[in-house]
Amino acid sequence: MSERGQSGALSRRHFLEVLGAGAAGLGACGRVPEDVLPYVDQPPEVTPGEGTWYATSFALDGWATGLLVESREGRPVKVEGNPAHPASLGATGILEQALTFGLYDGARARRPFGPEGSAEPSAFLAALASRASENGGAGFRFLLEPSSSPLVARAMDRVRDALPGARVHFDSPATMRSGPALTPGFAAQYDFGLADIVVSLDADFLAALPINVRHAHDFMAARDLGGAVTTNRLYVVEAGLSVTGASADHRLPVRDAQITAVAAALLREVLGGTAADAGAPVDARLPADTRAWVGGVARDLLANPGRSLVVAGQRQPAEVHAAARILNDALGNTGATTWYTRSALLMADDDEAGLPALATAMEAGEVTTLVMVGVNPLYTAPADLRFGELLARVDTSFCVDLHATETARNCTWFAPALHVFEMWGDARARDGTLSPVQPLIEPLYGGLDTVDVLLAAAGEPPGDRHDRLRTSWLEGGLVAGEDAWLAALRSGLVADSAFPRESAPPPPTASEVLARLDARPAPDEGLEIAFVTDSRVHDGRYATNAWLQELPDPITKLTWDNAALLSPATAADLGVATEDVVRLSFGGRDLELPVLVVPGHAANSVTLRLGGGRTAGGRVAEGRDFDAYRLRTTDAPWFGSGLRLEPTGATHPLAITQDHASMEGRPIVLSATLAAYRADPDFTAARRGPVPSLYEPWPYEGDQWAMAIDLARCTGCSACVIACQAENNVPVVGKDGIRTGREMHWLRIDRYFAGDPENPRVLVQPMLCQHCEKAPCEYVCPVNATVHSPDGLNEMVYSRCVGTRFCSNNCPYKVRRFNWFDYHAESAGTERLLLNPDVTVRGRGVIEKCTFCVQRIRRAGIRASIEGRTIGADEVVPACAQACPTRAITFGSLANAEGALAERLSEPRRYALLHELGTRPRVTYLAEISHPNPDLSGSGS
Amino acid sequence: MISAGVAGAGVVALLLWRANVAHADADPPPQPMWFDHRHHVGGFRIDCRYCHTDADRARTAGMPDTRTCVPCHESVWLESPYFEPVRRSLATGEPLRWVRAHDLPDHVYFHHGVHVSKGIGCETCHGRVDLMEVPRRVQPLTMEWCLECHRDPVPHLRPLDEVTTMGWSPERPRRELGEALARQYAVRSVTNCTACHW
Repeated sequence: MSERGQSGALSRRHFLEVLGAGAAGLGACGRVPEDVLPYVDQPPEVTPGEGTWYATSFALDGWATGLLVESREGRPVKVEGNPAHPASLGATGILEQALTFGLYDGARARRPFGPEGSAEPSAFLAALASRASENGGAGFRFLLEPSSSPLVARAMDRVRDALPGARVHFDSPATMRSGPALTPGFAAQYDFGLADIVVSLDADFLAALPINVRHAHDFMAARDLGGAVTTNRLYVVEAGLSVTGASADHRLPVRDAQITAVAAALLREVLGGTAADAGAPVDARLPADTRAWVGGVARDLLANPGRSLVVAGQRQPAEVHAAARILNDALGNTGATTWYTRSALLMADDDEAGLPALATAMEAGEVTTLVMVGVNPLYTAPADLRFGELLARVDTSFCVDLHATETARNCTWFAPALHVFEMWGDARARDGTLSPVQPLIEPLYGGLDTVDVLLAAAGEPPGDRHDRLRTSWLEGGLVAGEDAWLAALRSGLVADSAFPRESAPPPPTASEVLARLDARPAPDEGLEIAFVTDSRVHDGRYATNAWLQELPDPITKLTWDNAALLSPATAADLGVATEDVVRLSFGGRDLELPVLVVPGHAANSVTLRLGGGRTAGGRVAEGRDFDAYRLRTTDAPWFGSGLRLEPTGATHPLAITQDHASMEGRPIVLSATLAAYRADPDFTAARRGPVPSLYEPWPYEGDQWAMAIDLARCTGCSACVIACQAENNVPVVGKDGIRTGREMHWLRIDRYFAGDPENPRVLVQPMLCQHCEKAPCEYVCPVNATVHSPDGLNEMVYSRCVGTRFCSNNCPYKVRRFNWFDYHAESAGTERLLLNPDVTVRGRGVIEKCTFCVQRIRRAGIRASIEGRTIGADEVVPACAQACPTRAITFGSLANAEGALAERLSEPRRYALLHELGTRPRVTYLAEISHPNPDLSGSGS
Repeated sequence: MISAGVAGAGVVALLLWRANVAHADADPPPQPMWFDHRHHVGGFRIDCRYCHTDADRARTAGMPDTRTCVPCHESVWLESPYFEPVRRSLATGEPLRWVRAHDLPDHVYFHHGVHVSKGIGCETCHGRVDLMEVPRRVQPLTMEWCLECHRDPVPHLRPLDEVTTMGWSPERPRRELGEALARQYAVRSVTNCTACHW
């Protein structure tokens, strides 16, 4: 996966010599004999060459998502969502899709080490146990990932019994709170599917908040553009342009510090006469057009009581959450679209269990032993904690992680961690649903998990990992008995284990909240700094994952890097442009990084994505981009004022996959307002239907494969892109490859901005091979390497392709990719295990492109043929459609009048992209439908 | 001059290569133990699917695991020196390392199940295994050879209960019977590229 400059130079003369020598030797070549190794004792569930699916769960920041993972002869190769699991409903996000890459990542740590160098795992555990046994655990601290695992809770109880002096802390840089929690120990739950009006106060619920896969599904399920022709309306107030903001009908870009003022104004407008300070003027801090915007939102909310929802983002302080809660109470949304349950996280919202409390204890010299599992505080801790210095004061430190991280390198002892696919464990979904974690493969490098470490410290034998989970569930009453345990492993969840609704402690009164909101310092005239987690590398832990590094950011389309995001006007004011390196100074700390101008960003604000600039973790993570944690402090974990920015005069090249953001007035993404669509449902009529052709009709027979992509449902989250990469062995080309336009993604998301650059409309469009019936690529291939199938596929025949690239030149959709190098030849060792055995690995010099997941079509066709039936209406699901959280992609046969595809294609807003060219694409787009508030025309996007 | 020489060498090489792959009857590859198909198939008339269990449903026909040998050989030949590789495999857990006689290129996604379930007999591709001491390739397995049948599968079809029969000959003319079977089993001629390559 290295970045690639020039490949080894093979001169023309040398090439001919090699060819001559090869030709002379060819006569002796035959087929290389290949061995067949059957099992000694074949497990009954295994059929060689066929996949076996296991249900498991993946927890991020403590919250579980249910997965189904395909195992091929014991090798996990593909992740799908678990349709029965409430956090998944069969879909996945990008991180879940990239888990297989993490499993086979060649940079994973393989050996433990100790003070004497390389060590055995048993020595690691013995050293841990011996340290723990001193002084009843006084001075002994754990720092763990947030967890909702009953198994971990049980092991923590053992530690408390054995070591009364020990303490457990949890560290999650991605879910740090700005100040105290509003409802400690409770988790707000939302049903976006029941809300006609959604107001997001900096809540990126479609892509960043926990269980965003479920939220995105519910939010889009509220749209019915085929039958009743209704849709919901989304207002977003935020600083940086997020995926949720890009889907908004009205978006208000304001600096983070002003979101409190917007929340206060909204509270006053909605409560009106009932507020304690009734009659007080709407916050004078806000400009007149913002006040008008807030007034329009308030009227819309008041017109939809019980069917609206106000959500506050986790980056915002408790007052904003309180405002959202009071609004939901006042609007009758509480109990309808939102409610509370107990939080499933262990020691949730307990400040004594946080990282700052640990740092204070370390500062005071109270910590003699620190045990860290799955956390990397040396890299992620706020800069003002000076965690590196504090760690040096600890006598003995233990670290368990998948990679030799920054923290690991500074610890006394280190041991590799287990990957989630190697683990027995459990976790709870956001709603409390208990979800088992079961392994797909024996641990590749040994390794330890949190429970191993806790039990070792408690002086207990680790025991068999399967048995201890089963015992924990049976003894803890989590399942009724052996049958229920096995049923949970089979289905991936314990049925009906979601937590009941509970009433959370009452919020402060509206007047108290208003007083606190008003008391927050007014933002000054200077620049604001804002931190956000990255949807791809999360808090930096996935910076080791080349798939995620190369995935274009959904909004900026930036790969392999992070940058200082600025609005066009602010960049012009400051005299900087994209790729200019600037020095940011905040709180006495400096960071130099390049600028990236993003339309729609709030003025006078600079957004930095966390998770870059790793200095450890392997060649993919190290030595690239910039570490925003160096400017992050405990008093400003998400935003702060007083940022200084000065240009350095240097530039840093950025690898951006789409450098032109305008449609230039051409009909590429068609869109209409709901009102316009109702008035003229056939507004796309000129862009669909029969077109004349001089070419002979194809002899089509049987199923006719086709796809519909609903642009009103697509958020641009890019889960489909990674799903396609995982399914189809799509290689990674590196930053230089992207910069030279050689990216290989078969499916990309085109993103367009329209209107005012300071607050544009954002339109996204998944773009893949359109499988044209009159395909321009087919007519120009000189060697018949791209041909048409009787079931309507545009077939690519790699072994015929000689690499002229005429097809790519002639493709109006620009979806064909050329293998400039033998990209897979470089992946060695375990990374080869990542490849899907059902899909050819392409070599250098051939074109490739979306096949509609032909391997899945053929598998379904063969299965149906053996069973003597036709392929069912929704039986074939390509990888992109399967991953899509919002069901924006549907696939099926035009010959089948049943099923999801037929339903979508009956909608009048369908159209063919570049219809006028007469290519007759088999991919049909459904026009984007927005639902702006007529009350707000002219303000907001 | 040089380029003409290279081209000439290339043509010669291509002819040699083609002669090598296309000739029908290959030498049997060396195998890790003496397993006589004549004895098991021809002699005892054990159905192919007793060992190759997945042939009528899965992509690969399935190679028998070492345990498959045990039920019969617990009572016979257990002590034989010929049986030593099986005993060693069972004792050590190391698989037997057979050598493929029928090796298709990696970009061919051949599915045994669909062929067998449409009435293509084992013998059609693998030959008279009941007469072979060690199985060897008897057909060229070139794409040209595959396509002969894919273009016109009818004369190659058998009733499903005869697919594993060795030396089967129909009582009716093959084309006449084949046409009836093709209708019965919904056999289609499939010649597009992604029928086998993707």
